[in-house]
Amino acid sequence: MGGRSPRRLSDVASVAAHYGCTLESSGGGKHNWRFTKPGKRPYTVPAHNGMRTEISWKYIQGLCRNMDIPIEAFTD
Amino acid sequence: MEKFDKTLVLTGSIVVAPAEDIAGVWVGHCLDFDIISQGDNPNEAIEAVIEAVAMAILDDLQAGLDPCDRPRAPDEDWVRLAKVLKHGQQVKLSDVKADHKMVLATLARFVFEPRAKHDHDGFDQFNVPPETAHVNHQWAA
Repeated sequence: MGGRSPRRLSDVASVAAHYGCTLESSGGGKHNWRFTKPGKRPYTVPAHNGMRTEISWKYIQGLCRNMDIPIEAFTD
Repeated sequence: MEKFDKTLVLTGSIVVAPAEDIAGVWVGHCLDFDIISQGDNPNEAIEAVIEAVAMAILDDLQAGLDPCDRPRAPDEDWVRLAKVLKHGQQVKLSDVKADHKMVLATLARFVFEPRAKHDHDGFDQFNVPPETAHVNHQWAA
């Protein structure tokens, strides 16, 4: 799915992995996952429904800014 | 950032709006730390982004990093916040009814206190959730 579309968390994690990001468990609460990348600060994930959570384009933009992922990675 | 003795108090401006791409989902964005989360209604989105910010700040403090060095949101998001604050109406969050043409702006506070040395390392943390928000029906897009 291209364009400015939402993605399943599993898809987001797959794309982010190509840019050195790892999805890690971070404990309790609604944000029990976070993306990490060497040299970058952890970025929390709204995984309210696990890997099937639909992730909004707005969040994807924020993830890209914070993890140095080109936004085009999610539009192809 | 305000520092009182060893207690750290941080504030975060939060903008909440309907997700443009997922029906029924609201996106919360804390501009000071560029952290984004989402929920099924405006209040859930605010709670979710507050939780996400608190976790990120705690990660930073435990790693010896200054949370204020996190990148801020892009300028366009701050402009949007300013428009909501300027043109919006202040309401109690408990009175907010989801309207898919509205955008909310509010402010949360995060308080962190280092634990005593004889205790295990780390921070005690609590959040001061907002009670009111500015709501605007013109600047949702």
